[in-house]
Amino acid sequence: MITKPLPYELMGLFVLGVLWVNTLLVVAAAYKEIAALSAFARRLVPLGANSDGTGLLIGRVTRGDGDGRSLAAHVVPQVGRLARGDEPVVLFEDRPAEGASFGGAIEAEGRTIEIPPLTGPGVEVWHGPDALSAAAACPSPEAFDAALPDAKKARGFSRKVTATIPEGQILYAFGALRKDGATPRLAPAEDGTLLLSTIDPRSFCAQKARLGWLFLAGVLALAAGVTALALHEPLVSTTSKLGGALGLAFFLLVQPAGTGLRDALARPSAAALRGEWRRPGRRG
Amino acid sequence: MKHLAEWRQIGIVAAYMGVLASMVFVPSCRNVFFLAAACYLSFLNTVVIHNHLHQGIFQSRRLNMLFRVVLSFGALYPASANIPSHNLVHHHFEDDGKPDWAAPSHVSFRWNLLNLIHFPNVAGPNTFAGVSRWARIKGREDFVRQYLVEQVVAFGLTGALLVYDVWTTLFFVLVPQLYGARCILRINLIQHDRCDTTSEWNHSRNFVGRAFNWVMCNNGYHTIHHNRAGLHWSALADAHQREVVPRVDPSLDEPSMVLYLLRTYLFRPSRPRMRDVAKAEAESPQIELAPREVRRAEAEAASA
Repeated sequence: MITKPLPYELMGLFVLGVLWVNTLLVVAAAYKEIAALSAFARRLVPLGANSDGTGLLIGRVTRGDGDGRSLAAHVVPQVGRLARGDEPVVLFEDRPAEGASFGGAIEAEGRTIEIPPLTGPGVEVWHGPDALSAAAACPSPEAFDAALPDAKKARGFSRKVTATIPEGQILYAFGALRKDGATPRLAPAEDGTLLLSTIDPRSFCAQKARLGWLFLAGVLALAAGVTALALHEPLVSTTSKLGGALGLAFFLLVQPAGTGLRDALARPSAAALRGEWRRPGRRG
Repeated sequence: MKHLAEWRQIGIVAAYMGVLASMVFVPSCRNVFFLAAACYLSFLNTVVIHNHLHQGIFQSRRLNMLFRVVLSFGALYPASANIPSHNLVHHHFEDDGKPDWAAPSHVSFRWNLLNLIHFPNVAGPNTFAGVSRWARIKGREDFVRQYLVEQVVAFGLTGALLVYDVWTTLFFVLVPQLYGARCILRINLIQHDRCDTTSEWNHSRNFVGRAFNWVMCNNGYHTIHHNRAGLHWSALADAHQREVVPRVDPSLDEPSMVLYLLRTYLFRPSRPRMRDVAKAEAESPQIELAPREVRRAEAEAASA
């Protein structure tokens, strides 16, 4: 039996089975990401003027106890190395990012709420992409020239990209509101999460969830499409062969698409920054 | 060749290429036996990639580079990718704060079997994206040239075979190629899941069956391979007995990979819990082992 030539129809069904198992796994992994975002979004219930408990506060930073009167910061340590090529470009790789609350106060729903100083994995500081890009941008030609010597070495040029939340900033804060002192304070939620965000986290989660669902639908539709082509009778037809070839391409490409979606859905506190420096003011 | 034992690896690759060629050109070879053999040999081909990219088989650099090209076709991925992904990143886990592109934590299904099947879908793209970023750095021009040659040959030859006979190539060349490539990625999960990658001697799971290791060119001895990456694979069994056994948690010295896989992924639905496996080395006698940052620096210098 094992030396009898395998019918191509059977092999075709086998590889289609592998394609579908793999596709469904990629879809399931994407669904987990969407579900996690949606579960977090459900917790972002605005706390009203007299409410306490765990939820979302929307206000303005009135006091920041950190450097430059900042309330909090998202810090991404990076190492930059010189890229190949004639033009000097420094390419940055991330190290694990950290969020830190320096302490301060916000005005929300007509009341002052204290934000405690806190660091640790539960502290998430969110910014929009423009704020992080601005924080990561090369400040001057002198800064670029100063970075180059280390960037040429194996150890690279180390730096920390810091995006702060300053006084006066509109803030979305998620945590557990406690009224156990003179002034209400925002503590981490039961799972340790304290979110301080300059962007509306509800909109972020909704937008990313929509992207995720679009991805799921697209992947399943493409898988169905290549399957239909591959099964087009007769199996020796050009259409069927095209389906086979496209099925192979789909199998190879759905994997990076899945990790691409994972990266696209990452919360701002965990998203990759990377980036590069080119010497400002260079001639085009 | 640098070492007599390398005939085993050359034999594996020759057998693999022979089986692939048989299936392409001899219709009666397109059967379960040959296909299963091709899949198994494809996995062994990726094991040879691992060994060869740590220490080239031949004295001649040119031959070593040429052999990489042959291996790349066998796995449908450029063998040189192992240098940044395996030798540099994976061997140092997350010591320098950078995530291991193939860390077990990249998968998190509750049904553990899905983690095993899905793992290459994540580790693969992580790896190739990471290799692409690594290759953009100045000083890696030789790597980039070799990497490109390997890609052109691997994908070009496979593409030519697809044009020659799309279904035969898809079923009897691509299936084994992708099977081997995905299995070598899965090995990262099998060898490191629920180990303590911050420890010196309990960061890996070993599979110590003698027959298994003969076929696998001693790739079952994974702890000692991480700690003494410069040691030739033929010396790993003795080094494992001498250095690892006194210091490793007994659960990380598995007698059989097949039984481990059945036990961990088929006969139990959930992922095993984390245990403090590093306790074993705390009570064992000290041995000379360079700090991990020194070993990392040596590996980076060797790869330059």
